Amino acid sequence: MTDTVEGLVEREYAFGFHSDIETDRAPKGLTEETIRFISAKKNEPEWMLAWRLSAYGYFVTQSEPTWARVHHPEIDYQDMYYWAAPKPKGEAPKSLDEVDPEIIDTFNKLGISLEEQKRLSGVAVDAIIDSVSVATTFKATLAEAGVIFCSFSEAVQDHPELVRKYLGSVVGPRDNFFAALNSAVFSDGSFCFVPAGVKCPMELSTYFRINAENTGQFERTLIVAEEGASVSYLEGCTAPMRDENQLHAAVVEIVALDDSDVKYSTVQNWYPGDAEGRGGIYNFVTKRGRAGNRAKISWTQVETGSAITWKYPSVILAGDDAVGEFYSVAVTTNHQQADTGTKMIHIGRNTSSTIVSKGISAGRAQNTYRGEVKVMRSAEGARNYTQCDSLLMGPDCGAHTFPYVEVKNDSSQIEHEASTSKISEDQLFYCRQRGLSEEDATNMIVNGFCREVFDELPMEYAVEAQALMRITLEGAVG
Amino acid sequence: MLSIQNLTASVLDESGTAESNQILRGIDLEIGPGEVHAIMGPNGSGKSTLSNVLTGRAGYGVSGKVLFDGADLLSMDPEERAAAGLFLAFQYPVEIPGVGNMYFLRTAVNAVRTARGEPELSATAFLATAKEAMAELEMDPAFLSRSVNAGFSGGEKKRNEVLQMTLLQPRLAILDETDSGLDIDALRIVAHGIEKLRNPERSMLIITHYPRLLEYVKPDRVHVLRAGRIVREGGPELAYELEEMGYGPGEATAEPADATPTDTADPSGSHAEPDDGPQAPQARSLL
Amino acid sequence: MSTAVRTAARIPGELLDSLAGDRAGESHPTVWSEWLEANGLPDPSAEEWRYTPLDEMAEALFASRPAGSPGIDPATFDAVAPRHGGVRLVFIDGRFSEELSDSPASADLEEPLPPGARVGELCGLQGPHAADAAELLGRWALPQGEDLAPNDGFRALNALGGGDTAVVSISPGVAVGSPIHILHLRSAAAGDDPPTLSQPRTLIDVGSGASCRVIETHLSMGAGFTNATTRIRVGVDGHLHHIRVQDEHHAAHHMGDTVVETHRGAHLESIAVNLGASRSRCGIDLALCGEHATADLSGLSLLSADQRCDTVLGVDHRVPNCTSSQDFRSIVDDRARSSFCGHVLVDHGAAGTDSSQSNRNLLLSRRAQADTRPWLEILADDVKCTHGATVGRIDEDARFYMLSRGIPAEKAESMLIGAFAAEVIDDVEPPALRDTLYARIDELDQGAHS
Repeated sequence: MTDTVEGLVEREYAFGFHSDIETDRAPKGLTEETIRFISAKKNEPEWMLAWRLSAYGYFVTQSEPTWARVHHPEIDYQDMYYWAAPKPKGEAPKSLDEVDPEIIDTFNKLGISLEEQKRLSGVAVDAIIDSVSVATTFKATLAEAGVIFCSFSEAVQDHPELVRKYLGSVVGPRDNFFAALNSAVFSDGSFCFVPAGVKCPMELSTYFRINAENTGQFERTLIVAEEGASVSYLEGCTAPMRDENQLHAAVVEIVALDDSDVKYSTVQNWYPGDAEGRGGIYNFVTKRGRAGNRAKISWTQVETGSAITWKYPSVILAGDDAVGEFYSVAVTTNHQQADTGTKMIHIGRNTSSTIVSKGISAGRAQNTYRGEVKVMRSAEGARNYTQCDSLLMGPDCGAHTFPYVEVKNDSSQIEHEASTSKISEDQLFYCRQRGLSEEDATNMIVNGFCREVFDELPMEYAVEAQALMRITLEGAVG
Repeated sequence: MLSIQNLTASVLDESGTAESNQILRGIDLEIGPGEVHAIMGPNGSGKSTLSNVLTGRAGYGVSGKVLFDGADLLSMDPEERAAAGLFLAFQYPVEIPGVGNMYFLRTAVNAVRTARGEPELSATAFLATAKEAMAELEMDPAFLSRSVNAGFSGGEKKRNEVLQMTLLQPRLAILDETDSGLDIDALRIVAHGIEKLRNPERSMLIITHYPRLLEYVKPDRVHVLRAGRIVREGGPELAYELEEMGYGPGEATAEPADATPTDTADPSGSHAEPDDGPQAPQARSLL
Repeated sequence: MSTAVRTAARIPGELLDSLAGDRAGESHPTVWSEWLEANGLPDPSAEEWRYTPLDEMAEALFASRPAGSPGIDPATFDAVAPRHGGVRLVFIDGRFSEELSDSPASADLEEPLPPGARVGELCGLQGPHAADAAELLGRWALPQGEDLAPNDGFRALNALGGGDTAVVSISPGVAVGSPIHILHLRSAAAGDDPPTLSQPRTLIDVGSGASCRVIETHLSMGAGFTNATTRIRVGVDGHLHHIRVQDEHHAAHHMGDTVVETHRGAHLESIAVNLGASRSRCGIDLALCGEHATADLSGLSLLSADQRCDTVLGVDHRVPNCTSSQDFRSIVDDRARSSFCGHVLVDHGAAGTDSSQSNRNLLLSRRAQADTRPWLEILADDVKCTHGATVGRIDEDARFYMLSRGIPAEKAESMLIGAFAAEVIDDVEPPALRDTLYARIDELDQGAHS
């Protein structure tokens, strides 16, 4: 197994390149002026600016949370840029042909050419480079169904009443340190609105990409599913190789009204830093959904990238019979640190939640599951099942499981199971006796370990996730 | 085809040094092409250790020589031995949750084919072969979509082993207690599957405690293993003699039968020859 | 996951003075006074104190004062104090009571202690045992400022104002058959006096290859505060069976702090039973310091009315090849609240660790509450660790099955509750103590129906 670990440590970041796109920037540092600059740049209405400023007012009174099991040098919030946008060459593009060829080239390197996406996958793409949407497709099909899917900036301009109604209703501007930061300075993101009774005709997808040096990336996503609506949303990220740490503090809010169904899937493969732990993305994300009566919110995530991951996609089970799910695979190698999990807050009657977390730790990485299950007094008949499994590869890594369970209703049923072990020698030997190399055997066993989570991903993402795992384990055995 | 010369084995302790207690104490065995040999012996005699050492399981200090088609088997990795045509039907097949049986089998078959310089099988071709073999073994095709051995009954696991053997087409198959835990119908099916694979090019080494599998797969030679040594050899009739007479005094040992790799030889170190007793009775049907 | 930081409570100077005065004869109580003045009680936002009702604990502590003259008459004592066979040592308000204790040499004992087994009060012990015990005390029970972590306020308080020390010291190779019983009792305040404060200390040292059973009981006659420490060392190949019973007065506050270290090949079985006190904390810190040791910790809390009990375990696998298990259960009725935090740490290099943890909570009433945090922190790769937690009420299917076989509802429920507790209680020795526990479960259940 020693060889395996060395192989992991030596793996190269497959998407490590840097493209050169001219950006225009706000001055370095964070002040009220920065926020006014961003808001003005985006031509926002007064209420939006007021909302940002209230978040900023809270942010400056708070200090960074310390409870997560992650360590990093102090972040100087005054030493970074809070606004960067690709410089438009002339008018805004009306079609892909008009998009900056360099941007198109960047997508091509990532293997997510918009043309390809349009033709082959039938997936609408709201692609983001740095902080501003540059291309959106499939709007017509979606509009026909009444679905609004656009950049957050457009939504503020075109659907202010919807944004104003739902923005901050699940993750308020004063929710936590990083959410407050995001609320103050968010540059752009996605907005998705599925009206009552509508099943979104296609899976919605956004690719994120961090591109400019020293630019914090503050995405804001808001998904609203009205009564009886359903939508599946995909988020995937990759970032170019960098020496300096890059901060990312995104917020995703999901509003799932009665009888709606929202599925949110993430494959996260940002630059994790080099083998010595230099560089890499700091990924401090707040994701939360609120589920009404009989509504269902399902989070699935495959986290392989980032130097630090701090992320707890959560569900507030507010309505009766609401369902919350969290399926997660988190892989950490080299010096990566992940502190990730979920919160399931049971308020409604007969609410149920499922948590399946698979952590894989190799090299000198530290992988933590942190999850909270809270059953309020009103949550008659609440159910939770939690399963956390950790796989350790090598003697220098760590796997930690920190569940919090609080139950205030006696009719609830809560079960939590967890296990930690290394890859079984018996399994490895069995595979090798059948002719598989140690690397293939390891790969196969690890993929099997993650199966329950991969099965929750939409097909094309499941394939991408498996490919990511393979890259992660590439050269694992010498 | 297989030539074992003065093979010894000890369990390695935590620090990787061999413990003084040898489990195999000098085994000599020759298996020719197409021959079926049976190794019988009481619990703790070293039967499972022999199969582990031959297939390259870690955790043993080994000396002696094993030639497989003239090549030095002991210097090869487990997967190289598999590619060379060595197959072990495990006494306790391992469960691998999340890994589909079909995916596992096809990966194994193609890994072995690639190592032998043969082209990989297409998914369709593989599926057709697999389904045919499964029908022979009276296995539900649904097994292909389940995880490897996970949640299988004892009999299903053993059938799955024989299925893998059928698909991998080994040169030498070691069957480690493949008959244990099978009811009479399952035994018949499994034995039929094994017998079908018998041909002049393929050899087998059947490790068993009881002679009931040998009723279906008649061995050319029977060897009695005891305290790490082969103490008796004979034709198929020897199996029935053992059934009748037992393995002789001192059969009971302190070691559990499934202790792997801590499976050790009879700690009493009894070297008593088995009771020769009267002449072997005529072979008879056990059914 | 709030980031709000609350500050630790300061301890009133008057209380510190009264405790320091209590130890007027000793050399440097100021070490702890000063430490406590600087650090105060534990920080309520610290993870391991998150569910301990520290505000209420502090309030009760600050209102209490050390009892005056030990105040209990022998007749009252005999009426409340249990006997478990074997030698019994009695401490009233933290002071050794020679009068109420058995003399280890007494001919009245069914089974006299073998030579090499010494029990008594620390200062009363003679010879090498006293030296060993004093050495243990030096490291544990009386930590100096630099030994104390910021949240060790209650430890420092015990060091400052602790009473006599109950000692069980078993010489290498000595096996003690009958249980040794240490009984700590806090008296009720007389008249208008403030509630009493008692700070018992217990020290158990099991030598190499030695074995014994110890029952440690904490009782009280009225409201007040008990701040108890227990220090245990199980030597190489030693074997200790330890039962700690907290059965204080319903208005009492109890802070329990047990620190255990096991050495190579040692075997520890520990059962912590929490029955009484309005607010209580049962803290157990176990360090596995020698390879091939086995430590089986279990516990049972029976809570009703508005009781709160916080069980906090720290299990530290420092060396390879140790096995530990934790099985903690609580039965919670009325508006009571049970909380559990089990933190298993497998240190760097502790390969071959096998650890399993289970916390199960049975809620008997609509307003009962349970919080559980079974935590694993693993820094070695060749380990097998599992944990599990459940919270729920009586299994309806099982209950219905029993009803359908003609068992009355109340009986069915009490049988099921008994079965839930059985896995912990069945390891309790002697049988009389086990029966007492079952009787207490029945009481709890009947209370639920009244």
